[in-house]
Amino acid sequence: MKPVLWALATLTVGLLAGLLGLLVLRGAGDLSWGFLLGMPAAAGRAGGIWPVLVSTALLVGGALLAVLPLGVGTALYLAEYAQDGRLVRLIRTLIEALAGVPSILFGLFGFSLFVVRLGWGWSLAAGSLTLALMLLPTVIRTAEEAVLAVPRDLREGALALGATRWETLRRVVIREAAPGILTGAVLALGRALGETAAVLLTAGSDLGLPASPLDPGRSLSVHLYILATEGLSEGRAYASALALVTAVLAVNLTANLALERWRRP
Amino acid sequence: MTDLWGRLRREAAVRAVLLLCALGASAAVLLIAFFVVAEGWPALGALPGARWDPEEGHFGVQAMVWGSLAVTGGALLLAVPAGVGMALFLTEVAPPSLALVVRPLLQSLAGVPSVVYGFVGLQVLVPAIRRALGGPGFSVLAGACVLAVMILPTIAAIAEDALRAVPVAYREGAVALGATQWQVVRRILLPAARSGLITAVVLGLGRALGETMAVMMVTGNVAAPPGSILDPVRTLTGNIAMEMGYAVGRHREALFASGALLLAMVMALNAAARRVGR
Amino acid sequence: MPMRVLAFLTLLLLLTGCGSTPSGLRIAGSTSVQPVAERLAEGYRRAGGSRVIVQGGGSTAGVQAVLSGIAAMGAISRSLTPEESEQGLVSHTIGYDVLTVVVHPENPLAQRGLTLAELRAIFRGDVTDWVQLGGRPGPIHLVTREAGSGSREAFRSLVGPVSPRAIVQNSAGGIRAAVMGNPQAIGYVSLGVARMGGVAALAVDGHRPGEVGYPLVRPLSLVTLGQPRGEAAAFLRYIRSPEARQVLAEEGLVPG
Repeated sequence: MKPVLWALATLTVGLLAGLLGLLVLRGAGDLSWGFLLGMPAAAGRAGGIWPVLVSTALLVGGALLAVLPLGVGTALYLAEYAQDGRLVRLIRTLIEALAGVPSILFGLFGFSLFVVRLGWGWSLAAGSLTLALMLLPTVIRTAEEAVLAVPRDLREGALALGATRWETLRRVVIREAAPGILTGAVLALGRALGETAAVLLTAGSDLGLPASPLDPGRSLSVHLYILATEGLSEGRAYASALALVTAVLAVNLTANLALERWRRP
Repeated sequence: MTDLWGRLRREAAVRAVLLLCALGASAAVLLIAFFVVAEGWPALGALPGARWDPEEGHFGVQAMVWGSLAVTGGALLLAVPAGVGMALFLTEVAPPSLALVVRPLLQSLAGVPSVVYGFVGLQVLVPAIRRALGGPGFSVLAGACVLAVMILPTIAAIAEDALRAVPVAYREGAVALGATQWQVVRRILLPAARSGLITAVVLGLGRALGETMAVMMVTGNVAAPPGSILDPVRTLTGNIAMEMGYAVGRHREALFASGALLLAMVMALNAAARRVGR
Repeated sequence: MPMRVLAFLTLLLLLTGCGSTPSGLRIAGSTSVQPVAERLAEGYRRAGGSRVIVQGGGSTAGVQAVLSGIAAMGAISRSLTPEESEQGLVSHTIGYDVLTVVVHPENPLAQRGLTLAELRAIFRGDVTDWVQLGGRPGPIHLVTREAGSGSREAFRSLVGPVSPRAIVQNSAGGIRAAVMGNPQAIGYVSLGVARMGGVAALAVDGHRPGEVGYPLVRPLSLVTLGQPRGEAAAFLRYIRSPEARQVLAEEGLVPG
C-alpha cells in the first residue's frame, strides 16, 4: 500500500507544480511591468492590462465593502446575542444553504435583478453586490469563529466594570477578534478574485478604464476567459493566468498563515 | 458613563440592528431561490423533453442532465480514490513534517480559480486527448479530468477528518491482534470512517455539479447526450452560462427553470450529506 | 455621523443613471462586429468623440440590450427580424461582411475549396468524413456558434442548418481557436477574424472570400431604438468618414 500512496502523493504535488511551472514557463515572458501597467490596444491583442487590474480591484473592493458590515453583524449576532432556538437554527441552516448555491445561479440572480430589473446595466456595482452575496457565508463563518475565540475573562472583566453587552463588544471583543475577522476578509478576497461566470454576467467585459460604479469592467478572471476562448494571444493569456494565480495563491497563503499563527500562537 | 437609560436604549438598538443583519443574511438564499423559481416557473413543464433547440421552441434538458451526470460521475471516479488515498497518505504514511507541507499544497489546488483550470485544460488536455485518443478533444473525459482535480482537495480534507476521528483504540486493538497496516486500513479504518467518507463524496458531488467555467471550456457544449467519454457534451451549468446573455421570453424562463432544477439537486445533496454525517 | 452621510450619498449615486453610463456610449452585441467596433471607437475617441464602450454577447443579446435600455446601440451581424423591427428598432448598415469558412491550414482541401452544396451537406451532418470529399481520411469536426449568434443565423440563411452535433463556441474568436488547433475541424467566422491568422479560408464555388461573386456576404449593422440621437448619431456620422472607412476596409468589410 505504501508505495501506491507515495506515488499518488508525488503525482498530486507534481500536478500542482506542473501547473504553476507551465504558467511560469509560458507566461513569465509576457509578464512585465509594461504589461501590468499599460493600456490595452487592439482589443487586448496587444498592450497591457491596467484597466483590468483597476476593474478587478474596484470590483473586489466594492464586494468587501458590501459584505463586511452585513457578515460581521450577522456573526456578532450569532456569537453574542442569539439563544439556541428554532429561529437561530433556521438562520444557520439558511446561511449554510447559501454556501452551497452554485456560482452560476448567483450570476443569474445578479443579472436578472441588478443588470436588468434595476436598470444598472452591466456594471461594477452589479458585480460587487453579486460577489458580496457569494462571499457572505465565508465571512460569517470566519468572523463568528474569531469572535467566539475571544477569551471569556476579557468579556466578564468588562461586564464586571459595568459595561453593557454592546459596549463590551465594541471596546473589547471586536478589537480582540479583529485579526481573525480580517483574515476572513482576506480569504473572501481570494475567492472573489477567482470568480468568473457570475462576474461576466453582471459586470460585463468592457476593456475600458471604469470611471463610475455604473461602468462595466473586465475582471482579471474574465479577461483570462476571453483571451483563452478567443485564442487572441497565447503569451498574454498565460501571463494573465500567471498574474491571477499568483495573486490568489499569495492572498490565500497569507490568510492561511495568519490563521495558523492566530489559532496556535 | 452614567446615562443609564441612553446606554440601555443603544443596547436595544444595536441588538435590533444585528438581528436585522442576521435575518438579512439568511434571507439571501431564500431571495435567490425565490427569484430563480419564480422566473423559471412557467417553463418548468418544458424541461423533461429530449431536445434543446431554443430557436424551434424545444427546451428539454435531458441532454444536459446526462452531460452533467457523465462529467460529474467521471470526476468522482477519479477524485474519490485519489482523495481518500491522499487522506490515507497524510494520516498513515507521511512523516508529520512532510504532511505539514503537503497538506497546504493540496489545499492550494482548491484555491486555483476555475477559469485557470479551464485554460490549462484547453491548452494542454484537449489537444492531448484528441491526439492520443481521437475525437475532437472536447469531451466528457476532459471535463471529468479537470473537475476531478478541482474537487480532490475537498474530498481529501473531509476524508482526512473522518479518518482522524476514528478512535485510536480501534487501531490499537487490531494491531494487538496481529494486523498489518494495510489490513488495519482496509478492515478497520475505512469502514469506521464510512459515514464521513460518504459525506466527502456527496459534498464533492455537489461541488462538481455546480462547477461552470472550467467544464464549459473543455467539453465542447454539444446539446446531445454523449455516446462515449470522447464525445463532447453540455452541462446544465454550461448551458445557463452560454445562453443567459441573450435569452428572452420562454428561452430565458427555461434557463431559470434549469437553474431551479440545479439548485434543487445541489440542496438535496447537501441535505443528504448532513444527514449521513450525523 | 459623517459615515452615515457618506453611505447615503453613495447609495444615492448608485441608484442614479441607466442606459448610457455617465462616461460614454454603450454598444453591445455581435462578437463579429466587436473588433471592428472597438477600432472604430478608438478612432472616434482620437477624433474628439466621447468614450464608446463595446460589449460582446452575440447579435440577439445586443438587440435585447437596446430594447431593455442597457445599451444605447446594438451590434448585429444579421438582419433584424420582423418582430424586432416592430418594436421600433432601426438598423444602420456599416458594412458588408464576408462570412468565411475556415479549416486548419494543413487540411488538403484548403487549396481546393468547396462548393456551396458540399458545404451544406457537411454542416447538415450528411458528410461525416473528409475522405468523402477527397481529403485525408478522418472524421469531420464541425464547429458552430451559439444559438443567439448573428453569424450563426447568417450562416443558416446563406448555407443551411447546422447539425446539433457540432461543437459550440460562443464567439468568433472561439471558432478560430478551435479550428486552429484541430486539423479535422471546420467552422465559420467573419473575414476580419479569419485574417488574424492560423486558419485557412476556403474558396466557395470557386470564389475566394473578398472576391466578387463570393456567395457568403452579410450586412453588419448597428441598431438603435428609434432614430439615433446625441452620441449615437455622432458616432454613426463618424463611421461614414473616410478615416473610418479605412478602418472598415482594414478589418475586411466592404463599406456600406
